[in-house]
Amino acid sequence: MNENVILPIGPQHPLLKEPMHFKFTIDGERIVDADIRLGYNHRGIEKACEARTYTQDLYMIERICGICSHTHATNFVQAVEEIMKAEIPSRAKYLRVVVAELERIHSHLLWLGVAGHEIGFDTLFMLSWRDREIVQDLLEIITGNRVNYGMNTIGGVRKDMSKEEISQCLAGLKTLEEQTLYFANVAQNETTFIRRVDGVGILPKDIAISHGAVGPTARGSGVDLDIRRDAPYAAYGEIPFQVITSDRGDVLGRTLVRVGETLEAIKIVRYCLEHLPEGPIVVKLPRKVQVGEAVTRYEAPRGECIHYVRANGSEKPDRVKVRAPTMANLVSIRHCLINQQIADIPIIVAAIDPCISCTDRTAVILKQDGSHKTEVIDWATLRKRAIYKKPLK
Amino acid sequence: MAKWIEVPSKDIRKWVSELIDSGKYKLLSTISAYQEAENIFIVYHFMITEGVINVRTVVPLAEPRLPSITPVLPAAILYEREIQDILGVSFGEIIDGRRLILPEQWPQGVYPLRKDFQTPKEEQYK
Repeated sequence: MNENVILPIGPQHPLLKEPMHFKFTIDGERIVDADIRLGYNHRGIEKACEARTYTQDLYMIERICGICSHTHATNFVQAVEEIMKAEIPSRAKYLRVVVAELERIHSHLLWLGVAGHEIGFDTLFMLSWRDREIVQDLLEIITGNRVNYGMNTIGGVRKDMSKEEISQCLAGLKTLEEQTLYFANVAQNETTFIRRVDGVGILPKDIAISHGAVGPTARGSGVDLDIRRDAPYAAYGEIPFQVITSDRGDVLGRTLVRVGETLEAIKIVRYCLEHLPEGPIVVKLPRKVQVGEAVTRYEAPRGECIHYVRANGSEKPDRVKVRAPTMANLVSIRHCLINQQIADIPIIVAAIDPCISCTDRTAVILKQDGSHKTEVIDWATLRKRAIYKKPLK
Repeated sequence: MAKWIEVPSKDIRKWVSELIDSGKYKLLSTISAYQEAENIFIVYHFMITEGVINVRTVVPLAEPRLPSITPVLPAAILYEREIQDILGVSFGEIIDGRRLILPEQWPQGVYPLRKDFQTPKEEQYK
């Protein structure tokens, strides 16, 4: 048999947590080619940003993603502050780092659970998600929210930390560190786990560079690239930390990088809380932003996130461009998938920690009569339909 | 501090391949594009060994065409396809020119991020 079979997966599929379409060309159980189609989650946020004020944009941008919401919010405020040439208080910078690193811990623990689940190691999923609650509680203590923290504002942060909150946080970090060390031990020594992910989804270093991989995906292939160190933002220039890399290039390498980064993140949060500068947390800035442009980078849990903001002197931005890390990592995923087994698809796709909400950002929906025609609906109708659910025929 | 430079649109591929040959290339972060009056500006954001560099190029709105950099740098593929969808810039010799984010039924010649964008009417959909 020379003919290859095409296996479509998605956009809605039990294997995927978010809508994305894969077209695999397969020969027996082996993947010969892979193709991706995006856009199922596109919400037109970049266009919507042009119609709203900077402050409104901040809260909308924070909702691009539910996991790395602080990433997008911080990146956007940093861009606006750069255009305004505003210097924010150092206490605010440290507090931004605290939330950012707690977010990284929560995201990496979440990933570890998902990875465990995808390879049928559900105990790991249960344990890591149980311990993730500790960091979620800490985020709630610091910001008031478990997700979409609302911590940032243009000119600083919105909430300060009291001495009591700092000690609660340090106590939580202690438990978290013990548990993460346990997970590190599992990732390094547990035979069931290692034999399932060793040599799976290999991404060679040269492909990772030429295809623009970022974050733990790139670092798991030996690419030494971390925005926190290479182009420091917020308070990262003053904080000592290590960049974790692995030369393995497979799913195991990416796991080791993420577990190592979680431990580093705990150290960073502890350093920040112990060295928190005194002073105000916010500076007052005008509502209008002068003409200008800025590009800001941020090391999100999944890799480099970049925002490009152009201001035209009014209360609303002229252009906001967002590139989330998953977008960069999707280019190289084809190379990870080729020559692998169908059964390995879930873990290879999960290994880049895909976040489709971040990647896709027009409300075009199928007509309610079930025909293939589409219709464009306004915000009021969308809301109405969300509240009064009418079944599709 | 980030460096900003301007490169004519016809020379962009040459510039990128020279950057790669020089060994300074680290990462193409993304490609941004925006419309200003009768021009579309395209900005390539690179990380290089010396830091960060943003390369700006311009194409007229009447003929938005420039060479694709994907033959020398595959990392650019999704960014070029996105700009093709949202601003209608065509990249010559792009290795894969299909739609990326807009649905198949989306009318031809309607680009959401252009300043004169109007929500398409129902009959415009295929």
